[in-house]
Formats: sequence, C-alpha cells, structure tokens
Amino acid sequence: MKTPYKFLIAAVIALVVGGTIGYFTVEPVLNMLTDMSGVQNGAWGTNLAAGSTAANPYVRAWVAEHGLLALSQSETLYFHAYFDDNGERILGNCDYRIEGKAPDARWWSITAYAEDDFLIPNDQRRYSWSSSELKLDPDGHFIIYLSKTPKEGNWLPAGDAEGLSLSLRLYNPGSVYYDKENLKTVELPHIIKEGCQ
Amino acid sequence: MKKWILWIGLTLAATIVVAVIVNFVQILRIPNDIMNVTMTERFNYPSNQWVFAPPTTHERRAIVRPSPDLLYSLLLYDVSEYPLHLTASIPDNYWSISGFAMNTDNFFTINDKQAESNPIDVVVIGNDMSYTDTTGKTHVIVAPTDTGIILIRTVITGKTDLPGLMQIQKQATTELIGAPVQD
Repeated sequence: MKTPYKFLIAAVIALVVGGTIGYFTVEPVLNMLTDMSGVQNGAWGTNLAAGSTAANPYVRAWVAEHGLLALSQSETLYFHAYFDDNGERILGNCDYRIEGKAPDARWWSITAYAEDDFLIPNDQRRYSWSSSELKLDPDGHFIIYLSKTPKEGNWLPAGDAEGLSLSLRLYNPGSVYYDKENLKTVELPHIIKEGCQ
Repeated sequence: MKKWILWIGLTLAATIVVAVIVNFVQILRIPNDIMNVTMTERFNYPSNQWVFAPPTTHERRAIVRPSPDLLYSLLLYDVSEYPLHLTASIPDNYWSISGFAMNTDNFFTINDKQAESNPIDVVVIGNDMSYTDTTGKTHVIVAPTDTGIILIRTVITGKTDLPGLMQIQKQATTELIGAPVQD
C-alpha cells in the first residue's frame, strides 16, 4: 500500500477512535483529577480551589456540574461525603448517625442530597440541620440521625432515595481549615452506619 | 514487518493525542455551557433585575446541591453597555452578595461584616469601563465577563424569622447607570 493511503488510514483511525475515547472519558477523568487535587478527611472531601479564580479546568468543570455558584474558599468551605466512616456508600435503606463537635465557623449546615444532587423529597420537608437550630450537648457535640424511618431528636429523612450524599457547609470558617495539612486531620463530623433494612 | 509495527505505533500515538485533546476541549467547555444553559433555559429571567426566590425545597430543581437554609436573590447581570448599580438591605445574621462569571468563577463576595454600609451599595462595571466612587461607601466591582450571575445569600435563622427576612430581601434594588429610561 502506498504511503499516502497509510497516512490517511492512520489519521482516520486516530480521529475516530481517539475522538470517541476522549469524548466518553470526560466524566471519569474529571472525577479522578478533581479527587487528586482535593483533600480527604475521613468521610469528607473538599477542594480548596472550588469556586476560586485559581481553580484548574478540571475543578472548575466539576464544580459547574456538581456545585454551580459555589463560593470561593475565602468565604465558604464545602465538604461532600458519598461514603460513611468505613468507606461504604451512603445508602437510603440504612440508618446513620452523624455526630461530632460543632465545626469552628460563623454558621454551618449539613444537608442530604439524592443521587441526582437535588434535595430529597420528604413529608417533613426537612432537608438539613444548621447551626441556627441544632441543639448541642453542653460539651458542644451534636447528633443527627439520617434514616428512612423517623428518629427521636435531630432526624434527617432519607425519603425514598437510594444512594445519598451529604454536604457540610462552613461559612466564614476558622483559620484551622485553611492549612491543607490541618484540613486532613481537623475534626469533622463522623458518619456512622447503625444498620440496614 | 518492521514498517507495519512503526505504522501501528504511529496510529496508536496519534489516537492518544486526539483522545487527550478532545477530552480537554470538552472539559474546558463544560463551565461555559452549563452557565449558558442555566441563564437562558433554567432561569430565563430578564437581565439586570432581581429575582427573589422563596426558601429552596425538593420541588425546586434549577441548581444542583442548593442550600435549603438560605434565601437566594438572583440577578442575571449584563454590563456590556452600562454599569450596574445594586443596593440591598442586610439583616442581622450571615448575608453575602457574590458574582459569578461565565466560566463559573466566583469573582467577588462581600458579606455582611465586610459591607461598607447598610443598605450595601455595589456598582458592577465591564472590563472596559471606569467608575469613580465619590461616596467612599460604594463597592466597585470589575466583572471579568459582560454577563453572569449575582447572588445574594441570606441565612434563614428560623421559620418565625422568615417573613421578616423575605421583607428585607425584597428591598434590593437595581439600576443601569446612564441607560436611557424606557417608557
């Protein structure tokens, strides 16, 4: 076969196969590279570049898909949890205890989301607990119960969602959260599975 | 035989290069594409006017991962022709006003503690505009893109506080500086 034909065949294969691979690997590449540039602390993950003008294209695209209109870290830190403390996926048919010390922030909240990243429909219209309303123990600790069936105390209904995720928002957080090394070890709420139906 | 191996190697290398380029271009497009869809299809409000949203519930599905504990006031800004003057009353608890460019960057945030006055006074100008603040209390913001979103977040401190907060929310104003008055 003549060389120009070989070039043409190679170019067509590269364009078709490479283009297809490039197009269909956007989401996995996005998730992988965003995870790599983020910080994990127990069940919670965050990325200090989210919302910032310094964000790389991967973080910017991930935020556009999963947290559009997020404030930059100088104002708010957003932590997300898709897994519990044991590294197992948070599921709607399991009961969880979210407990810990109140974070150091001017105002904070914990919100549950369904797999589609929207609020979980429930008759109580309870989607979150915030520092405005959450009652703390005398030592500054709190417990939130995430479950399908009602619980005494601070209950966060799981509704009919199958896979769930949680967001912890810290508005005007303390300086301890701004050191990347500290951020890996600073105390954040634990997500403990109590059992499944 | 060796020539065939060379051709296969070249094809493989070219395939990888094309895959990386296509992948990267797609990722670069995502923020602008999502902002465009959000502004033209999900919100589709007139530009430079405040929209005062009620507290977020599961029925509201315009923006992913919304906070149900915040009252949102939203404005699709367009400073391609005139500077935009905004004012908003600030309640006693956490409150902030922030701007988002077409690439989703949060290019400014001013919270209740940082505001120079109450009501806050903000002028948003385009890249090629200038504005001189004569009061010393106006926050002059240069928008990196002519269009984008401005968002006010107000913490809902409790159900009983909600009517008062919504009243404060609705005191926000907007005006294009120098634009001809429309009949």
